[in-house]
Amino acid sequence: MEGIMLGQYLPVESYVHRLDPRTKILSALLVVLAVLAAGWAGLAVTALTVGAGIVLARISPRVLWRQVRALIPVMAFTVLLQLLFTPGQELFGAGPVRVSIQGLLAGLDLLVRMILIISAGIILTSTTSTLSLAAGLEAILGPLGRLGVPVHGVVMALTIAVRFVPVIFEEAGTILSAQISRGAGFYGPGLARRAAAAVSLMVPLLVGAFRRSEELATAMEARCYRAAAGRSRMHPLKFSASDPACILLCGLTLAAALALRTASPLV
Amino acid sequence: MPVIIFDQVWHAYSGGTPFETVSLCGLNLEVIEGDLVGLVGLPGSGKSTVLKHLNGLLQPDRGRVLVDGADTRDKKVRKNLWMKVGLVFQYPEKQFFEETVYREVSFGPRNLGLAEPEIDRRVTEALAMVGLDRPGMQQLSPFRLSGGEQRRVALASVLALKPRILALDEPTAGIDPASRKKFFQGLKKLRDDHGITVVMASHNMDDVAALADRVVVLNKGQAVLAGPAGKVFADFAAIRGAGLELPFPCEVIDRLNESGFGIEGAPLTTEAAAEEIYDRLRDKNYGSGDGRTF
Repeated sequence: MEGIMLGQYLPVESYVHRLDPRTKILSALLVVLAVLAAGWAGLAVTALTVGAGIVLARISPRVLWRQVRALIPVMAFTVLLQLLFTPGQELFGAGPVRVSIQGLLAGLDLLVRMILIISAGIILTSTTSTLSLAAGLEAILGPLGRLGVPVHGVVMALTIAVRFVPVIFEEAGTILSAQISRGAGFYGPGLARRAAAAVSLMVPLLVGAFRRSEELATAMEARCYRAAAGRSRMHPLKFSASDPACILLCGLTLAAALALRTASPLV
Repeated sequence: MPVIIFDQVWHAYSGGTPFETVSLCGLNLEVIEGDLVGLVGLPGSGKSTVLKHLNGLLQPDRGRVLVDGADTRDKKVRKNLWMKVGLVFQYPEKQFFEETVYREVSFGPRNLGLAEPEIDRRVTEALAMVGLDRPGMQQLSPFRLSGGEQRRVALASVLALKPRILALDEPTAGIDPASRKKFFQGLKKLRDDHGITVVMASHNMDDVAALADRVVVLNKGQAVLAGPAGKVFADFAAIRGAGLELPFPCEVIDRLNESGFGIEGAPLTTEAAAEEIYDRLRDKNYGSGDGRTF
């Protein structure tokens, strides 16, 4: 398993990397809301904001493409549904397939929105390490703790899950290679052989995941870890001058999206 | 003609991304059929990458790898190489997935498309080769065996393919000394009885000294030293230059030489080292000239 995965942290120096994780989570949320609320004009404004984010985060187009690439099948499928099943003025048709102007527009609209939301997510995940992402999430969800929600525990579980994704990917790669070396027919002909090959990958992977989680639990308990103990932080979160600026920018984007929509509901 | 040839092989992982790591830098390497080759080097020196090139899991970015005369750049060659080159990964017991030892070891032969009686024979043979032929063994769960036994089952699962070349990645990591010794005896017997070529990657110099008759020292993706084990290990400076420790007997000799013993060559076993030291001490002239005593 090589290359860059969707949602992978890219350790470089940038303006966005230095922002507080709380800022980045809130900003991403504001941008996503803007994307959902916006009309065509609003989408253009939001696209500008997202574009600025990508540039300021120093994500190269190539790396961005490598991450978006993984979601192309999902996007293609959704757009196709819009194209085929939106009734309206017929643009062209062949047999039972009818594509309307409205369908084309709806598909395009959805595609742009999906790309913007995914990009906002990529800016967040590629500039924020898992640890600081968790710290930010915990701080934002903190108030829920008073309602009896085990915020720290939930965030910890999430962090661990995310942390182990690359480890398990790597292990899957190794096991895959090992079974291919014993002649497992992952890609060859024969359904039965392919099924056997799939089992030969899944079982060791599951066994490994269980073993690893048990070891981790033991290690944490050996260090007297308690989720509800009011833990302090090695690096307390701190807002700097650029944080309000970022939130303000994203808030303005949302406001603009809403305003443009109210001003001319058709656009 | 050598059975394995690496000709100016370059290889990088994650090429073209910020995570690119160059692993092999123009590596040249030759292995003669029937040799027991030790591939030594620090972690990251390219040992595992070399092994993965042997059975076609990886192919060179530049240069070429010939296994038994076939170029691994050819997709057809790569696809069928697993039948000829058995690759035992590091911690191979992690790949277990079957309910019984028999089924685990029969996975490879079954993938070869053999008939049931032949599969049966190969499983029994392979388990015997690694010394796991006690009755009832085949019906045990591989997950319930001891670490050393698991390792041997994993080795048997590759041996059942009857490969001409056996490639092993740190095969003794996490194994007790008694199993380790048996394991090496098994490998030597395999070579002597069946003429199998063995390539073992390891950073444990004592293991390599105990098994290999030829040694290749890798450093930063290049072979910096290659030749008969006794000769390679005698070049203490070059071994240390690659960031490696000397095998224990060589280390002892080297320290004694520092205080003027003047023993030549590199004994590969503790017994050989003891003999050298004994001979040297018995030498009447020794220590008399300058009045030094030991």
